Amino acid sequence: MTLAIYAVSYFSAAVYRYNEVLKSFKEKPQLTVFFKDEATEAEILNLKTSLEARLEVKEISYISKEKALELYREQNLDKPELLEFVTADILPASLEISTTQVEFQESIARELSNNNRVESVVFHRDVVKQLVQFSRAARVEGFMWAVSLLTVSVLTILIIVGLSITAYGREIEIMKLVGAGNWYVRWPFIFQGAIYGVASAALAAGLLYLMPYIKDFFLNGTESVLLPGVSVFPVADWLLLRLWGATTILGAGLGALSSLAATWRYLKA
Amino acid sequence: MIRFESVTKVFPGGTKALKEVTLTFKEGEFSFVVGPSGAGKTTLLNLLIRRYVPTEGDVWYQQYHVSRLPGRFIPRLRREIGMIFQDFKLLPQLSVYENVAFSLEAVGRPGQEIKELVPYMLKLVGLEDKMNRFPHQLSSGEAQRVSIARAMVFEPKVLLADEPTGNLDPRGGWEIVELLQQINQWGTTVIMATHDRDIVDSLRHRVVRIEEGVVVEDNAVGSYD
Ligand SMILES: Nc1ncnc2c1ncn2[C@@H]1O[C@H](COP(=O)(O)OP(=O)(O)O)[C@@H](O)[C@H]1O
Ligand SMILES: [Mg+2]
Repeated sequence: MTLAIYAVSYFSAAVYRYNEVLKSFKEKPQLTVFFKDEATEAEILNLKTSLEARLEVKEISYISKEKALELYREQNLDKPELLEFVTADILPASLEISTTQVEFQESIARELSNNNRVESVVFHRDVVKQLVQFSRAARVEGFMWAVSLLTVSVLTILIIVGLSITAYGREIEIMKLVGAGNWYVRWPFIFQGAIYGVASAALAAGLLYLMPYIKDFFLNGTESVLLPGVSVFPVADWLLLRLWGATTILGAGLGALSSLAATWRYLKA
Repeated sequence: MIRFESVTKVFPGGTKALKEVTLTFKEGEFSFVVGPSGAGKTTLLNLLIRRYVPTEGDVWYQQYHVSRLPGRFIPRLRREIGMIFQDFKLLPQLSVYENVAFSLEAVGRPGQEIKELVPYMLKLVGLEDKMNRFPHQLSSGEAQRVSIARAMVFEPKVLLADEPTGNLDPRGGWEIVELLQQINQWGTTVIMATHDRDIVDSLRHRVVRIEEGVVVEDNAVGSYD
């Protein structure tokens, strides 16, 4: 049950993360225009001004060769051997353009690639498409994991509660013989099942919280194989709390329901 | 008040415990059901509280068709028709007080009422000073009195007693029978299955004799033989 709820939480967190990243891409549709070396700064800034005037363009920023080197250095601090060979000259200057809507990216990209000063245009439509795919995959895969693990836990609770009902068989029989209603006999078992669910949810939340540390310890920052591209951890505190809350309800409900099924099965007559 | 109409009970495996039994019990009666071991006495009583369902025939209690009663009414039936057993059927992990109280809790009686009713009942059966003992700390006679108190808290119209003296010494047995007579005088119909000859012969009550699942004798004022 703990594992099942962990899976539910993990994949919910993953889906949430993907959607967040997706949203940021959608909100800030971006394309990057790389210029050939022969393009002068003046030419680029000229183009920038003319683009700025257009409705499709929301934001535009110029990244000079020097700025590009700076960024490159920042991104590759841990690889000094690379930095030695890279100078501002090798890196292209670029414009980063946010369009007001994703749909405008393509027309602008086409237009700019016709410009003879432009080396290439990269835009994030593909990234978005991929993210959508990952998000969907996470959802489907997560759902399947969750369903199979939850099924196992429901069966486990059925068996455990079934066993304790059998263990209390005599007591139950006596209670019923002197006129105790079915619910009076049932509810301690239902309570027992719900407790399993609540405890599992707490454990799963703890696991989710501790996972980044555990991972760090064992994997030293290796990427998740299951969900490439976006890291799920650490799960934001508020999200963790919400997941905990939701899974507590889910766990209690499922636990109670499985016990109810068990009492139904074992308390006949 | 209670009617068995050609009731036949066949257990899985084929034992015919009762064969076309037709019997009535009137309100306020004290009846003995006698017969050798295996005759069908326990089966008869259990049909009345719907622990068993007849294979054929019908069981009636007042206006209720017991043998067809929907499951959700069974707990209520068992409060109107209380039953005590040869082995007492007390819950070993509960104290005397709790053994009587839990059945009231089970039907959601208010705590205050339980606190008053349980000691009152235990006093009636003479156990007011043993409320906090546990079943294993009681004599057999005392244990049977706890089970009587447990049945009586619901003020049942009928009290069934299945060999209530079977595990008791003669003196303890007599105390239980006197208690049952007392309860009968307060208006509760009592049906007691027994093969205690002394008790049956000393009291002038109705005696129903069952042998091999058939009622062979039924005397308003009877004796064991
Ligand atoms: N639950 C049961 N399953 C199968 N056979 C039973 C069951 N209860 C009683 N019997 C059989 O039915 C017959 C009558 O039993 P019972 O009513 O207990 O007799 P008594 O109480 O008069 O000793 C016996 O032959 C007994 O073996
Ligand atoms: Mg018997």
